[in-house]
Amino acid sequence: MTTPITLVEAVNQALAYEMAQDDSVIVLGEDVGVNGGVFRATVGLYEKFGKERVLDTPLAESMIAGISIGMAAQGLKPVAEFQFTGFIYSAFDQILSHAARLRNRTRGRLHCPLVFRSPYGGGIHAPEHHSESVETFFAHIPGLRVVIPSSPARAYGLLLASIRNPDPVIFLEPNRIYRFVKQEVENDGKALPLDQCFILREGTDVTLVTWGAMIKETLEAAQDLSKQGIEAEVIDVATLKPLDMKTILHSVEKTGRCVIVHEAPLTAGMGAEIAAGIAEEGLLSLQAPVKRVTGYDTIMPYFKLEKFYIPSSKRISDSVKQLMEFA
Amino acid sequence: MKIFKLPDLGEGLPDAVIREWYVKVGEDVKVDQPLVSMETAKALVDVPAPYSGKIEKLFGQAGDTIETGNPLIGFEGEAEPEQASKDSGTVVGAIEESETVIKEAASGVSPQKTQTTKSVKATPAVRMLAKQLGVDLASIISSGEFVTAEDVKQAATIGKKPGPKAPIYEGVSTPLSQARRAMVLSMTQSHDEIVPVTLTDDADLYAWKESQDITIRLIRAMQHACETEPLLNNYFDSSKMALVTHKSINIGLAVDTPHGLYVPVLKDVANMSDESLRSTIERFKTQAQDRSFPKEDLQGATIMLSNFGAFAGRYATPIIVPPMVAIVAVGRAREAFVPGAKNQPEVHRILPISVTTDHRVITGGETARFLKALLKSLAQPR
Repeated sequence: MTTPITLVEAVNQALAYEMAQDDSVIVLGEDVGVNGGVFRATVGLYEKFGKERVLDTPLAESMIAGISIGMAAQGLKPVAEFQFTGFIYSAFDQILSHAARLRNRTRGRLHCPLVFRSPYGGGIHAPEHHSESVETFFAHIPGLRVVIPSSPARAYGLLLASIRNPDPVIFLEPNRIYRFVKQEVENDGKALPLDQCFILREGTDVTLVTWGAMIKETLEAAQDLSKQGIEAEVIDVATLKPLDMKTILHSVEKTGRCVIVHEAPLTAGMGAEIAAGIAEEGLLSLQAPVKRVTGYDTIMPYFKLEKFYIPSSKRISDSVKQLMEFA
Repeated sequence: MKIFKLPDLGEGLPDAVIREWYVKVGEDVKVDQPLVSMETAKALVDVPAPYSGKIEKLFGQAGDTIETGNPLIGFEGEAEPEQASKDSGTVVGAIEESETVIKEAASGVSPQKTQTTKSVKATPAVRMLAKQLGVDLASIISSGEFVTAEDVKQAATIGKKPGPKAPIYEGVSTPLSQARRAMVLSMTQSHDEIVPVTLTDDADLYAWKESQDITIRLIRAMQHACETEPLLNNYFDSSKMALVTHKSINIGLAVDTPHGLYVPVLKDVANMSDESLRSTIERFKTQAQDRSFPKEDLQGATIMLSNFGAFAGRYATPIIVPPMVAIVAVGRAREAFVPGAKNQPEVHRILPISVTTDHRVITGGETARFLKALLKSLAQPR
């Protein structure tokens, strides 16, 4: 079989595969070419595909986004890297006002088959601007797709699907689990379906909904709970927008209880969106209120306090136990 | 010699210039102690000691450029074996690495096709209602897609009274007041639970000196009877099949008002003086008019006294309110001819007394002895 690879290596593998298959795929960003990317996500691409297809850009995020939109509108498939999501804010106007709207504005004459990929999330002992969770900002914009992988295999399959998708995708890579586990990922070019949740663990007592690096703590909590006789079903949302509520509702109908886990701050996080969806369509199955276990409404702290901010597996399992005792 | 190499001082910087040494060769340093000030392309940075030890060699002077990864300081001690440095990128921060290999399908597990709904469909409010009424949701067959509040309420009443539909009466219907509703509930409960036996007799008040307060005499008589037959001063806890004894005799006085029946409680009558009894009873009368009884005044009765004699009636079958086991009812006093000394007719003042006890726990004999003590006390001159 194949050598197991990490999540960031899976990203690299997908990029290399698709660039070989499709001449229109261009990689651009800061330090992606000669350096190979600060996380080594684009290592070897410059050597293999040359400077016409792997572009080292200046330190200008708005420009990176703008150039990508122009390329995409004219038939290329740019995959641009934003070195940290903390740097993406300058590019927001380009993303919101143009990438997300081009198809609508031109009535379908033009569209943006681009991918903006970025390492995101905290827990890597980094300074400020390097730890934010920004998925909610993008999920709220009509015209954008938001995809977050949680394993090497899903990073490979979902990135391929995102590059092949004719519309803009914000691909957020949880850097806390960039190298946390390895997995055998066959380099067969098979994409995974977008717009769909993945059930990672089956259970009957509670539904745990999460994405990205929080999969790690959520699966740990599920293990812990299993020892206490509580079987949790774990769902990886993967595509945050458009959201696959059907899978989540189906699960809640079975278990009657739900906890949503995310690293991003509580207020107006994606947990609120999912909880509202369950209240609207799944009310009759609920045995207890829908709970959210999330980051706090503060800036992600520096590394000594990070572990208090990021939901721990204990916080998750305590939350589940409260629900089991609710009524 | 243990060699400490210049670490990456920030996001892939290739080298740094020594600006100032803080330590000398031969000096003992502690871990974290600043050793040297280095200037990078971005900032002036103090490099702390990675461990405690004695400085053996400094690999440069102020003004020298040291490349990242090259020797900076030598410490006395064993040289550490060369570790192949992994190329993990040039970014600030630390990403946790492990060699754990996961075996997991990329698309996760597929959900079971057949899904068994383990719970009944109902809104949270209906679930709460079912819980309050003690109804098992699973046992309800609902008319629609899910169980409604109506379904639950219907299931709740079915258990209690199976029977024909509620009749519709002619006339104007007025809902009962609070007090009357309370009476409906407590009398129904009494009827359901208690097995009553009533003994009646007459108290002879012939010997009474001066005019006396009948209520006070009755209270003292009951006190005496309870002291003689303490069993009638108990509660019966049917769930535990146990009698609950009390340290005090608390007499509940049935008070009839236009608003309804109230039973304020004289607590621990054995330790109350006659004056105190009187003033409390006066207070009860006022409170009954105002409906201003505080909750404590209406709780804790161990035995009841009902004096209906103001109007008419001799003997009664008074109703016990559980968990009490006895009640004394007093009818209208009358003058009657009774055989006196030498069997000559005499006119005596007679007070009819009825005592009901709960025959689940009190015997006829105990009731009779209680009654006897009551009559004896009432017959006293004072």
